[in-house]
Amino acid sequence: MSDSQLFIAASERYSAFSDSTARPVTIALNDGADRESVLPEFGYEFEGAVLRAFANEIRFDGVENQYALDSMIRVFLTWKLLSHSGFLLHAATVMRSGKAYVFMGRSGAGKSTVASLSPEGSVLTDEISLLRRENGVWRAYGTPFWGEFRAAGSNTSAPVAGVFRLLQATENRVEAVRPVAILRALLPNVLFFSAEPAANRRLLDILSEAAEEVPGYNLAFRKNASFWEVLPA
Amino acid sequence: MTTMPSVSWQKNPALAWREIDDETVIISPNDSVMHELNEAGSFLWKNIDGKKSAAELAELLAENYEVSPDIALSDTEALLEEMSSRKLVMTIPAAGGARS
Repeated sequence: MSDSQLFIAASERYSAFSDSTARPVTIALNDGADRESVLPEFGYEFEGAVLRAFANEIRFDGVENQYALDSMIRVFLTWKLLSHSGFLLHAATVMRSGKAYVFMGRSGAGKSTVASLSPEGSVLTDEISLLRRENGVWRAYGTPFWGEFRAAGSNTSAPVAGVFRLLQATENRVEAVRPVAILRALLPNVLFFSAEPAANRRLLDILSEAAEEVPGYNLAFRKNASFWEVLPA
Repeated sequence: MTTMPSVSWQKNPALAWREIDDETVIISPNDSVMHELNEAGSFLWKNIDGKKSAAELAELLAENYEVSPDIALSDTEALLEEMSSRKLVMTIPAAGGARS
């Protein structure tokens, strides 16, 4: 396991998503240093890989490959976003007329179909979207995480036009749904990894706010690009 | 399960909940299961405070929803039992550790 190799590969992979204006944080990747005595602000362990976040340092240990690192970064992000009114969602996000259309659903629901039916360059992500409330406006961002296209998303964001729950059908139909139904649809698609009650309360607050403020719809669609015709502008 | 009238009820402290659309949505973080309570259920949920008994909760329900005390009590007990089976609420053992 060569960590400088993994570090270089990761740096390249996430370079489009780095921000040189952000406060610098040390990232340690499999460096073997012992920080056991210091309690992290957040910790997570999965299949031997360990993530620990401290005030000025993020440590990844026992991470064997890029896929594992990708997973750990997603976990870290779900925690970090709690203090930024945001969350990660299994959803494809497509930009159209300057707005973000967020299509959510589990594997097989049609996220990659929607992405493949959208113009090249308009897909912010076909797998994992980041939604965040900024200055009272919900915006959707692309993420670098791999989807079925095996391509990273785009480091772009746009105000959210709507969140659409994908349902496959023989005709295209869009139906507005109530906030509680949006929340019900969001929950199984949200990425979250903490069983801590306080973190879950914070997440539920953020999701409820999103459900109340973002227009939500059920979208029954045929597997062709004609579904765009029924979407709200 | 039988509950004694004097036993008081509390919310499971491990839960996260939020009111939305006049309903209450409750998440249990350990299994990520979502529970929904209707308006009357939400009313009871708000009043479950670790002090009130089923009878006291039923009394509040009867006052606020114009139902007879008998119906309020049976509805309250049924709802508490349902919520208890889903581990949303629990009883506080009476002093001396006696449990129903």
